Amino acid sequence: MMPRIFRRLLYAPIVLLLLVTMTFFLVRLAPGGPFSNERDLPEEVESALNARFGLDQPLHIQYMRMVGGLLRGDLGPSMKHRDRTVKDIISDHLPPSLLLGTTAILLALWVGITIGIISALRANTLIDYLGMGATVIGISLPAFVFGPLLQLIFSMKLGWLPVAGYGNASQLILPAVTLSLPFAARFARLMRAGMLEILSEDFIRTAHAKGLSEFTIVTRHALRGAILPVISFLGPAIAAITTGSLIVEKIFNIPGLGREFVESALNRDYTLVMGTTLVYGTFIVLCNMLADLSYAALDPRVRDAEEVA
Amino acid sequence: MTPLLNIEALNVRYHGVRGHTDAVRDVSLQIGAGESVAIVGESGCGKTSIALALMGLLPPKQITMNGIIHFNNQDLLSMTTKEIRRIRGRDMAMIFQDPMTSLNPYLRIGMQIAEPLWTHTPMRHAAARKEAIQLLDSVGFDNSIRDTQTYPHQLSGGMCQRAMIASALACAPKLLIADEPTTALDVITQDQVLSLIRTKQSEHGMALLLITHDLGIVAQTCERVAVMYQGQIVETGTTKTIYENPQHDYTRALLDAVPRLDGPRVHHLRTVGKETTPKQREEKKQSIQSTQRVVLDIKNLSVHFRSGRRHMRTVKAVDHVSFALNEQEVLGLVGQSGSGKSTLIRALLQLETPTTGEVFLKDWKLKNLTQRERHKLWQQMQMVFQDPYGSLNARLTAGRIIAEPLKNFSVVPRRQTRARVEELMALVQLDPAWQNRYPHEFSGGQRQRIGIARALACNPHILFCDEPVSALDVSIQAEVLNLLRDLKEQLNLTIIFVSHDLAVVRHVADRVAVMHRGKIVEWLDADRIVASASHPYTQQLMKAVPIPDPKRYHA
Amino acid sequence: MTGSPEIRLAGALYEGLTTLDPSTLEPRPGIADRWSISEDGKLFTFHIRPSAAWSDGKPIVAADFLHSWQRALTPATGGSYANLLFAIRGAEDYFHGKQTDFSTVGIQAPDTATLKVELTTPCAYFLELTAFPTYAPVRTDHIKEHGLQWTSPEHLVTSGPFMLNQWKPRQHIELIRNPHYWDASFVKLDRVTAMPLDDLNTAYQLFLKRELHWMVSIPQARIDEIKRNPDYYALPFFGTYYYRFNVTKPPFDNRLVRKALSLGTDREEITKHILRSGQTPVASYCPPVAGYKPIEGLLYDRNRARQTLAEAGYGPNGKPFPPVEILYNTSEAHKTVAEAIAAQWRRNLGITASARNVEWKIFLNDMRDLNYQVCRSSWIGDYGDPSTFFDCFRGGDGNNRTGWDNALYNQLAHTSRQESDSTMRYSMFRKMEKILVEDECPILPIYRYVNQGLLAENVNGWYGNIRDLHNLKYIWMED
Repeated sequence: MMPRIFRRLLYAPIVLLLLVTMTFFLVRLAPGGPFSNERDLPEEVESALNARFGLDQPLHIQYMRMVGGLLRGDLGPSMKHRDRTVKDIISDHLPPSLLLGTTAILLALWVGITIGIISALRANTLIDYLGMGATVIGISLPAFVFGPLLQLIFSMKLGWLPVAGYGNASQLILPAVTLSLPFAARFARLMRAGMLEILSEDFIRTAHAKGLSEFTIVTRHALRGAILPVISFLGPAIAAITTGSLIVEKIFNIPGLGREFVESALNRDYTLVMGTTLVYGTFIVLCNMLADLSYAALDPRVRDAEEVA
Repeated sequence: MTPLLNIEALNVRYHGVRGHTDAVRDVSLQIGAGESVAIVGESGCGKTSIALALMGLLPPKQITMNGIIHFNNQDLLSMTTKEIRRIRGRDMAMIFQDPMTSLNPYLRIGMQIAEPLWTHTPMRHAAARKEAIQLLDSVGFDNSIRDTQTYPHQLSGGMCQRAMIASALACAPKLLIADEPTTALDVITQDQVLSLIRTKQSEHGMALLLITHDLGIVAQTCERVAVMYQGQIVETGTTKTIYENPQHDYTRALLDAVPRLDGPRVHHLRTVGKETTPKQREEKKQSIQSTQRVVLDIKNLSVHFRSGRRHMRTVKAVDHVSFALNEQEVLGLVGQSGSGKSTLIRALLQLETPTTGEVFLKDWKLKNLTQRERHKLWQQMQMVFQDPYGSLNARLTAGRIIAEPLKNFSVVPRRQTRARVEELMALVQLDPAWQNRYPHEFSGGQRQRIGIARALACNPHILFCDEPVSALDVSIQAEVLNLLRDLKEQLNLTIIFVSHDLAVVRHVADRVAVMHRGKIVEWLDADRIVASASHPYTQQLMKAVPIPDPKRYHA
Repeated sequence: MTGSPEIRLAGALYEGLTTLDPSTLEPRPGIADRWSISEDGKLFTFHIRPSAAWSDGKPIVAADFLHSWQRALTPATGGSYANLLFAIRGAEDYFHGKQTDFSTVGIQAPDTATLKVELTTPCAYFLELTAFPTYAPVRTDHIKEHGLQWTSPEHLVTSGPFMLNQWKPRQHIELIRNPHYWDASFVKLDRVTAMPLDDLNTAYQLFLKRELHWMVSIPQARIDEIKRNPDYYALPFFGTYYYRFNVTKPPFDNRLVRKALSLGTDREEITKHILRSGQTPVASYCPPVAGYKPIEGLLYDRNRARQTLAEAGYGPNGKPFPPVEILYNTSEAHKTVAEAIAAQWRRNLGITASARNVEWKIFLNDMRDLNYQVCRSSWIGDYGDPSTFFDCFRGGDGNNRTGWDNALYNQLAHTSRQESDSTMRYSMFRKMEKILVEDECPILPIYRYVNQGLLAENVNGWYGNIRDLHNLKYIWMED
């Protein structure tokens, strides 16, 4: 296992440097600058701002300075929210995103795996049809419909949960459910398919022939293999769930990084774009690494194949 | 005395979407305690259904079953699932055809062996582990303590089957059901596993129900035989009577279909289901004179791999192999799995980079080929694969599969593709009208014919056949072997025929190379294999080939 | 509260020399309790009230204003509103760097309680400007000390009725009463929480649950339902929605073409059938303010529109009209308006018109570079005088962005500044407006904004006004 981790850890900075470089040039290639607004900015103010953020320098100097800053861990101040540094913004807004994302992914895994297993064990029965029908709805129901629907039912009609906001556990429930829905549905489908495939394997017949109970067969013999499709989707899912939380953050007014990420790009907030992209980039690299490693941990064949390769 | 197992008038009917199939029809069979009985028949004859019925492993929703199954004085058919579960793995154990897939790839061997102990005995943890180690010891693992920690993929097929046997024996069952236990193994391993089963059977005094298509292994292992054909038992008797005096035509056909090492070389093997008496003529000596023109010249070829932790170990998969292949010659390449046969083929096809050595195709030195050159090479060297199921694209029709190399290598003008496909199908004795069918609509033997037709499509110089019949039933094996022989004569093919089975190779080859640990240890003339084999490994290979003659074992 | 709370709350945190009456928007004494104006109307002398103090207890002195205004006039620290200070003598030169000595600017603080401000020309609305946030004092010493951190709740020192207690970006801003405020005893609210809610639907639900008492905008999709809510208000607003023409490129370099399109636009259809929430259709640019009455403009007249287009040389007997594209920044509301207007032009004038959206920053770029034919625009006045609207369209003004430069208009803009008589000034503005929307038509006004929101019935001291200014000082809650 170790050489693979090391290799991946070696690749990570290269991947991130590429990401940073592409981001740097792409945002500057996009028309419009960070300071333009509906009301015209006097030339003097604009050039003062450009000087303050080093945008008056040639591109390669800007690039070197940016990389230098990154190496020192200094992302600079935001160009839009000029009284806040990018670091502040990330440290303010990343924790809510992480908390929401983690809750949502755990919820999605729990619900998805449960439904998937039950559907597979009761394949082609009413329970299975209901479960899979629910997943179709889950995949196709967009957050901007599902979120307000939950608000309407659980906050307005029943009054059980707060409409929006961030700070206590009860405020986390509705957004986490909204965010997890499509992923839970996908997990359920992957789990069902994986389970059905494993259950048709020869070694399951062997397990039956040994006289094992249904429960032991499912938990000990089938689950590990059946969960692999879920695991391989987990990396992209975690990435998608944390970067794609924009709409849910908006609906439930969660001060997450998703909105900062999108708005920074729209605002041409060069420094904030860099900061948020770097955070998400690192995150995605880590998630994929983790998914790969857990894949190897679950499947001894993958582990050995990597040792030899 | 009541027998251990009494099956009477058993019927098993599968319900499918398009009507039902009677897999087992009115079958009666008794097995006494400690007795070994074989059910012999081809794929689809219903023999496995009987085994699964005994174990209660048939899918209850898809079948109806009636008759009587009494085991150990219990009525199995009236038992609840829970009650049957208590018998499975304890009183009645089963091992399956493919040991690699029948073991759970995600769990350690030790655990899988100890599992019946946990389930059926109060034995736990340390005790179960100790028992698992002893079981592994008893089936021939030489480092059992370490091997309990391994995973199935880290073991060879033979070792996996040994582990399966250990697991089946864990609770000392009264009956062991072995369903094609050696079909996926090479001859030497097959021999070893069978002898293990025999030893264990006599040690434990358990009964054995061996299910197989191979009459060879039956002669060696069982006291009684039941021959099954289309869901029915057509003949039962002691092994001796069945072999010496087969009553049923089907039994005779089965016996004749096996290529034998001991008898004379026959030109055509008998195939089952064809009422015409096969021509059993002595082969004309040197009916085809292979020209002395060398097609393929291999000089000092080696392929080494690095493996293991930190790539410390070097595996010499092919070790200084040199030989020349003449035009119109059929070369048999024999060896166990892992002997380097497949790597050699891959190296010849330029799919592996040789560590040393040179290969010439006529005057063409095959080294550092470009993609385009390799493409050209592959037109001249074509391959027939082992698994006729996996090697055909299930989404293409037979016609398109055969036509693919024609397009790929632009062998014939587009307009003539169809005609050429029909010609090829006729050549491999398939009805050209079937070209619009999909692979799943063909039988295993027919699929292998499609594979051969595809390989022949672009008139290759050399045809590689990699274990083309080892996944097939004996009678189908016979059909394919006959076909290859016919094609060789008709088309003057140059063939490298790879197999682990000396008897099969002997049937088609002119010359036989025995490969062992990457080296060619012996060259034999196909006509004088038995007489001239001198290398101990060759002799071991020969000894391992099961011979459908009980006298050799029981006399 | 919703919207961009940072700006909305500036008025609660900072008080300038003057403040505006919550209902009439007339200037009232603020940090200055009295002032005098010289005969020629150019010299203002403000007297800072002795009780004026910062939220940290330090007294507010005249020099605080001097330093703050200097900061606002320094490009590196100033913003897009610096031009509001240009009424002061020498301010514009200092800002543009033509003069580096700040003592040349007409601001003096002879003692701690007196601030003398000298203007270039008399300015009728200067006392209103001094109530604008740009003129508010800030603690320059704190800014120096804390750098970027000066706006944080720990460091922000304010001069207004409230001070910052907590600021959680994207969650809420919490204001508490400033105990050192000179009129602290008058302030009724102990605590005000503002929430930036991007999702107006969520905001509406929070309002319905009375977790919010005031919503400054509403989810348009639920307008019909909200209109039935007794807490709903809709007031005329000091802003105009209009289209710009790029007059530098054909066919819009021809004023008759622009005029024809203006005549061919049925604004009532837009407000009545598309927007449906009380916007006033207008063909004029500047809203009525401080006694100014706008002219009518070119009202919808299909026949005249066709006739004018024909005069311009297009139509059945002239050249074919090239295809027109309306550029707007991505938004559902802009889209529906643009598509409706394109349809009207097709219908009324027989021209090929389409609408295209681009992202906000690209839109700004295209507008600045005159890389468009017709584009959507709007203007919201900064202070209660028509000049806040008309100044934009002087030739070369940064907010002009049409390429239009009219000598007569420029001249009128200049002379209106020198004029102190409001009747004279307003008649000049009416002339300018006529040039802008009837004769030359570099712009095509569409509707007057409406200020819509929801206000809980127990909120008192809230007065509807055209500029949507609501000083929290006067607001109180009934239990």
